[in-house]
Amino acid sequence: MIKKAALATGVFAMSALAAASMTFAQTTTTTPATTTVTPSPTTSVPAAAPKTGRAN
Amino acid sequence: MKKIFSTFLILLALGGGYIGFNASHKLAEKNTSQNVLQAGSHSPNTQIIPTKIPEAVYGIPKTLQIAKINVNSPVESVGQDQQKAMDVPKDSDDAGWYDLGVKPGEKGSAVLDGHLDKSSGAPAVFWNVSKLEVGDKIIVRDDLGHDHTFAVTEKAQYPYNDFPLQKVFGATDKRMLNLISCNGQWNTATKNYSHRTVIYSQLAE
Repeated sequence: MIKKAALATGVFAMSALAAASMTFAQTTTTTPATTTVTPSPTTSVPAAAPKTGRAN
Repeated sequence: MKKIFSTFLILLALGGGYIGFNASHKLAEKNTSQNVLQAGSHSPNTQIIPTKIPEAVYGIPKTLQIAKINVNSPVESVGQDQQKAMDVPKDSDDAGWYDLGVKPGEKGSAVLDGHLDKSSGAPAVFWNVSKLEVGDKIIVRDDLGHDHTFAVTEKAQYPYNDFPLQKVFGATDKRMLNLISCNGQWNTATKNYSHRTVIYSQLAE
């Protein structure tokens, strides 16, 4: 009789835990971020100024 | 008796599941409403999602207009020559946009160059660029059909061998358009002028 009562308590606890963890897993789903990051354009600085005189 | 006890056990297990589900569900609801209240104070049913407004799109420059010095010319895309200097436009009546940098209107230093003169000595596209003064307007039309107006902020002349490359081409938080052309004495041996004129301008619109 004691054995059966212990078994019943164990089943009761396990059921409660399983239900709680399922709900917790559902409610912790995060919303994807919507912030867009625009990459900054980069410049390759030349080694010298252009030769803009007397065009051919 | 045994049957009654088994039924009791099943009911007990189902009851445990229900209690567990109900308790955690109520806890989750409470947490969600707290998050919403933290995000927005006006209405508990409104959730504020942070968004960033995208920056305007700037196209490749196609034409250059400077009314003050009667310039209305096509713009070629240029890169670097074999010496890694900024290249020049093929046509002496065109301006050249440095396509290894930013586009005019974008944050940073967009750069256009143009010849001072032709091999005959006749004026080229930037013959009068040194006549520009602070406040003069420069308009660039891009391949998307948008006009971007810049206002001259500074005019400078530098020796060719002491040219401030970082200032002219380097990064800045401003939206600059810098024009480069030749100036000074022509050296027949090096086939190069001694100085460069730089017109600095900033997006005005």
